[in-house]
Amino acid sequence: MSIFTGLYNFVGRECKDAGHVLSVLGAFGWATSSVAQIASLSVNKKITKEEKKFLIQQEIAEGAVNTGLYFAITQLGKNIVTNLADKDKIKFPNSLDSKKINKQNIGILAVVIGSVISCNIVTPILRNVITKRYQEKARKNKIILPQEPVFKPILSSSEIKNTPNAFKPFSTFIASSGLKI
Amino acid sequence: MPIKPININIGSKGQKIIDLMNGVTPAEQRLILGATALLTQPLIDTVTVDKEHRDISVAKTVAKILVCTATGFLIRFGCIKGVGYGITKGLFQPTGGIQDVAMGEKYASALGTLIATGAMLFTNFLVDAPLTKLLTDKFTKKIRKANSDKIAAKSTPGNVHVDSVAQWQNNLLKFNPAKIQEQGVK
Repeated sequence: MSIFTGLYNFVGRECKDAGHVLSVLGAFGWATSSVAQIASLSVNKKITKEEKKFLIQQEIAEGAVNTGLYFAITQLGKNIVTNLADKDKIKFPNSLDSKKINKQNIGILAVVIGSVISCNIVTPILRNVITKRYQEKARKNKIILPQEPVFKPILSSSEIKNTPNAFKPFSTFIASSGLKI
Repeated sequence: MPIKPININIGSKGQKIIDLMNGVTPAEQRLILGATALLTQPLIDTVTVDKEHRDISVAKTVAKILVCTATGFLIRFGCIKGVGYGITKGLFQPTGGIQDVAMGEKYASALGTLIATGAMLFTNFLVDAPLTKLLTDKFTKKIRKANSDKIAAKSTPGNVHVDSVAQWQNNLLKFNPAKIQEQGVK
């Protein structure tokens, strides 16, 4: 059996529950996005070893929070509503003819709501907290982490160098460098 | 005191929402996430980021959301459609084949998203990152201009307010002799 047939069979087995697919593939997306960020940081020659150490640690912490919270919140929401539906605690107007479909659709709804709560409320708040913590740690160790390229096209490097310290650490307060895929 | 048993009555409006969820693909989920992100994330930045950096942080967040949602949706949507088309041509078949249309749709959605995730590992760096940077710069320039206009309106001669980083950066450019020399006196 080829690797592709193995993959197709695996997907064929797992795809029956659409809510489960949304939850698992969403978490997989977060995890791969973090792995890509870590890989790009580790091959980046423009940053020193010390800076790399801090940035990679930060990216790992953020990746774990993103992936773990997404999976935990979506699975928790889905399990609660499907259990309630199983025990007939949720009354559907058309439950007589389509109980199974209702159960699956309410599972999908729980995952969608869970993903919104996780990605758009809980994760950004925690990410800002993690970023601040790592930047403070870096500052204590006298490591100046690289600036995000927001001002590059407008200010030259000498101008950035002349910027007063109070305005330097933009990345301290700006949300994660990671881009969600 | 006896615990009241949970009984949730969905009602006809709730049923309509639940019925809408039938067949929601990861591509559509990404659109929902992007739309709600535009409502919540700039607000979170406003609360958690200090006043000086708030405008720029919001500009970057909005740029990120717009770019990542657009590419995330389009790539997922394209891959799901592509796998769906491939299935009709006998490609991507699991052992035992695909039994019915509903199963085919779920299979295409799952496999298409998996392929899209692989593709997005590259587009994240090749498309999302440069486009986000471009859009952030555009938004930042607009915010700076709006801020300078606001400050200019507030300022009186001899009393110059510098209450944002954008304004400070603008002033730096104005009074930087090297830059003036480089650009020539107009």
